[in-house]
Amino acid sequence: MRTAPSIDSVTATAPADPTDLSLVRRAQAGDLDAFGALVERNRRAVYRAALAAVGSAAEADDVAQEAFVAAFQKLGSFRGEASFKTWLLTITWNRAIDRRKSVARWMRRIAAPSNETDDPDVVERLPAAAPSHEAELIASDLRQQIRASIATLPRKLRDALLLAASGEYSYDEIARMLDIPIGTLKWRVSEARRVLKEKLAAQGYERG
Amino acid sequence: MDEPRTEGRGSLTDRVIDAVAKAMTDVEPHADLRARVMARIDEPRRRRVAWTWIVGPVAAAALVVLAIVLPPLMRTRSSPPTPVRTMPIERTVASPTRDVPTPIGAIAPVPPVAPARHARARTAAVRDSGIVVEPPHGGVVVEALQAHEPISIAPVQRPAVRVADVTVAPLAELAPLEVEPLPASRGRD
Repeated sequence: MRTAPSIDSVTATAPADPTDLSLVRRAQAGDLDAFGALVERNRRAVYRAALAAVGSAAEADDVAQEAFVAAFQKLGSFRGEASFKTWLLTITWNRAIDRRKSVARWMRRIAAPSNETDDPDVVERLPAAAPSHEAELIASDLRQQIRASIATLPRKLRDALLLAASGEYSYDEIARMLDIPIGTLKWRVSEARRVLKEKLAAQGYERG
Repeated sequence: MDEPRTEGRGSLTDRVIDAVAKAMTDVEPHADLRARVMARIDEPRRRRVAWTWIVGPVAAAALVVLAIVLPPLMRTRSSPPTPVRTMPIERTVASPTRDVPTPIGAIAPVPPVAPARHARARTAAVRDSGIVVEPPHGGVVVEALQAHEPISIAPVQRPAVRVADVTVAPLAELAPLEVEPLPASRGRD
């Protein structure tokens, strides 16, 4: 007489989630559903990286879409030396930078150039998301000051800070995305914070 | 994995900065991102399929037309003309055009005509063989010409000429010529 399987045995025999690499191999063999699963797994990371670069939700959406399509087209060249996510994020970042350059060019064409900031309009257009628990605690004017100060950061510092602060990527992934050593990345993040704190202090906010 | 420092560590200002920076990218992508990506990936395939559906029938139709049109053309070009079928038609058609004078200024080209003696020989051969040739496309049957009776003509006879029969009229007499003598010369001065 057969007995019903215990919960433990069901758990043990249940198919585990396929790894990114196995999904990539299936996608390389023409399995579109496998690539769809990869899109679903990485869509948030891709979208937020694009958003950090271009600063517009609509453009980030376009960039994310283009990045996934480009990744699919280049999938045959993926050898698995880095993780699929890192490889995908690199494609995304390059696309986003191309878009940012074209947007900046377009903005310069229609508006007078500003010497004060390093393309501040892009970051100014970053959407104000629902405030986190920490953000609810700070005054809205301070938030605005920090947002404005981040907008005035040089691009290299700003990219590093936004990607690091997003909590979506490891330092290694960010360094590969930006194609810089991890040490350089950490310095840029630290330097961005230092510059921001100086600006806040200059505007009367005490250093904490 | 070396994780970036986020809120919860560092000074208050650092945490505030991290919180604001995080909020700037803390946006969810559209839910239909996957569907749009998959649609774009699948689009070229669908285009290829649609293109195949258009080109395939057209190519098949072209093949059918070629299969219908080409064989008769090839047969017409490759098969040698049989003398029995073509010669009488050629004779009956060629004959009037050779006898009737071509009007001046006629533009229509006259089909080439075989030499008369060859045509006659072929006609006799067909007539003697007794083969009845059906004209193509319901044309008119013209019977072969009958042989001519040999024409005999007497040789031309010319009368002989005799010297005695030739009469010559007497010569007319000429008046004697009188010439005056020249005057004596007076010498040179």
